[in-house]
Amino acid sequence: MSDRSRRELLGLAVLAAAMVAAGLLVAGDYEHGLLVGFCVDLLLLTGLNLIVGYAGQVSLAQAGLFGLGAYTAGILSAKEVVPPAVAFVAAPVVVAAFSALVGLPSLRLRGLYFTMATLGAGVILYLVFGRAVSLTGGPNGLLGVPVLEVGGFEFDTPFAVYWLAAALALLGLVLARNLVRSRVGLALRAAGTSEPAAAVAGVETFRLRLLLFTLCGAYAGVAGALETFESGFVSPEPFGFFGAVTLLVVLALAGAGTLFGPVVGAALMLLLDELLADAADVEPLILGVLFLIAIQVMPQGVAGWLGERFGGRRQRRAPVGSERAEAAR
Amino acid sequence: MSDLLQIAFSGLTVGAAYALVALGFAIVFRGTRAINFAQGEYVMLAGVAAGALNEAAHPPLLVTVVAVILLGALAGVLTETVALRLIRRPDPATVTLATIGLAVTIKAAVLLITDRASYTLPGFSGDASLRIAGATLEAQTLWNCGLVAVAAGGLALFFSRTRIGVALRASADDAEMAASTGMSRRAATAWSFGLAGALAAAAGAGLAPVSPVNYDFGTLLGLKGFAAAMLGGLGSMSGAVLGGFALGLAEALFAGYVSSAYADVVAFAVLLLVLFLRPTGLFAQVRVERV
Repeated sequence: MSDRSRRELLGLAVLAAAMVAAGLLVAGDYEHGLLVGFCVDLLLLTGLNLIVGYAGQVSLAQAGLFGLGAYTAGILSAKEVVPPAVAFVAAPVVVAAFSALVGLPSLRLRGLYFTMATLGAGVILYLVFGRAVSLTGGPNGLLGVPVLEVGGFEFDTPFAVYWLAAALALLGLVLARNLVRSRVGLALRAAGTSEPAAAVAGVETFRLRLLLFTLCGAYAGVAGALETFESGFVSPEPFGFFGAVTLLVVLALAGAGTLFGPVVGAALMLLLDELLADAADVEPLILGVLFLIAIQVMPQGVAGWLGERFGGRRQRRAPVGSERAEAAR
Repeated sequence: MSDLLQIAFSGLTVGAAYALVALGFAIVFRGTRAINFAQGEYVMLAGVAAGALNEAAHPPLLVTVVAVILLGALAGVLTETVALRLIRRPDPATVTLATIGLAVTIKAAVLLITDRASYTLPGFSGDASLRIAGATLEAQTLWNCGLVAVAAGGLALFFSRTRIGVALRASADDAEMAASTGMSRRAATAWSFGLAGALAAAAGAGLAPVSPVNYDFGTLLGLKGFAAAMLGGLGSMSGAVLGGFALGLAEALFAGYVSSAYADVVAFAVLLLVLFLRPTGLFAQVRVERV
């Protein structure tokens, strides 16, 4: 086992222990809700990290995909189309299928043009959430989401949902790690260094990117389903352009293309939400300024920056803003 | 018939604003290959500033309009400083991301300063309007189209007749070659952003009499302006103008005959269609790399 693998496994074990400890030590529905929020953000960022950090394609669709997951789970269960557990599973399936559909034409475009296509798809989703009133409840939100029930066990408190969320978030992180440490990750790194050279060596960049974007959608779907069953309510607000930018900013700040970047990012979002709970209006200003500073001083994000100082070997540079993501000329 | 005409008039009013914003996207893209997402926020900033100035001091309308256009130009130049000059590695993608950060910052700052208040401006010629074949043409629609005409004409002259304009074009074609003949790349990019800011601010001043402007006004508008620029072909000036009006009309027609609730979706559906089917836009200027 290499040094890096050992460090990574140690890091994952520490994270798992911390999440269990947090669940046991923290009391109160509001606090448990925050913890679920951390897991939801972790899933969103882990998925986004696959396409942005490892495939080098900047996506602005993640908030819209998150919303699609939340509404799929919410609508299917609230309108009693299927039992809640089935609705939960349907969310990632639907979102992954939608991602694949968007990715199929847009991943053939390069760099900024891909970003613009994901922007368009994300904004359309957001607009539909707000306007399809008969289906989504419109700006007032979707009410009447039942409690998630699996085999007789009811996830009827944020505390119960947290254990499911924590397990799924950790599983998601481990799966993402294994994927990028596999041949897929190697191939993507090769494509990132020189696409023609990778193509000659037999790397099918397009198919790999499509796989990662589809997976990214599945993560967003799970995150959306968790959010819906935790709060029992869905409203369009978090799924707009600002939501998409926030996720991207946080990932860039925390370290895109690093295993623990999403963890740092989710913690950062939790911290911001908590510190600014009484001053929600200031949050966008702080995020905007932080982002501008981050572009200046840490093109690799916090996790990459820490890794550079304490983790020994330099990780590959985050593709956010690298030549690889350069605009089509 | 009068319905259709009425719809066309409302399409022109908004289309003019899209055209101005799209022109800004085109200029910055030509100069830097980046997409300036702060564009929509300049429109909002100008609309809010114009309304606030008018409320506070009631200056002549021309003074207000000129003042906010200057403010827009200043915002553009500031964007260039933050998103380009201060960046260590100002490649187009980084610059684009930085403008997103700046857009979020501008919007957030205006939210805090105005506390979500909405602002309006009186029409440039009061409430005057014309009756044409049963439809009402607001004077403001004509003013907005006039703004586009002046901007497009002014830009054409600027780019063909002035030293700076020619330098900008040279710099956009081949930055290194232009720099080797003594043209300052920095001045070129600063001018690009400044012009884009002024154009967006003109759009803001032209829209403030039509609809109330608050901190949230710019984001969707800017993104639609971008869709218009893509429709016309990113980087093309005439394409930007035509794309803006085409989008405004398409949106108005969709709102009138299909569904007003989903009219906002039109711009983004157009954006996706253009990206997937004809990424160079209707007036090809740039080559798009496909994998």
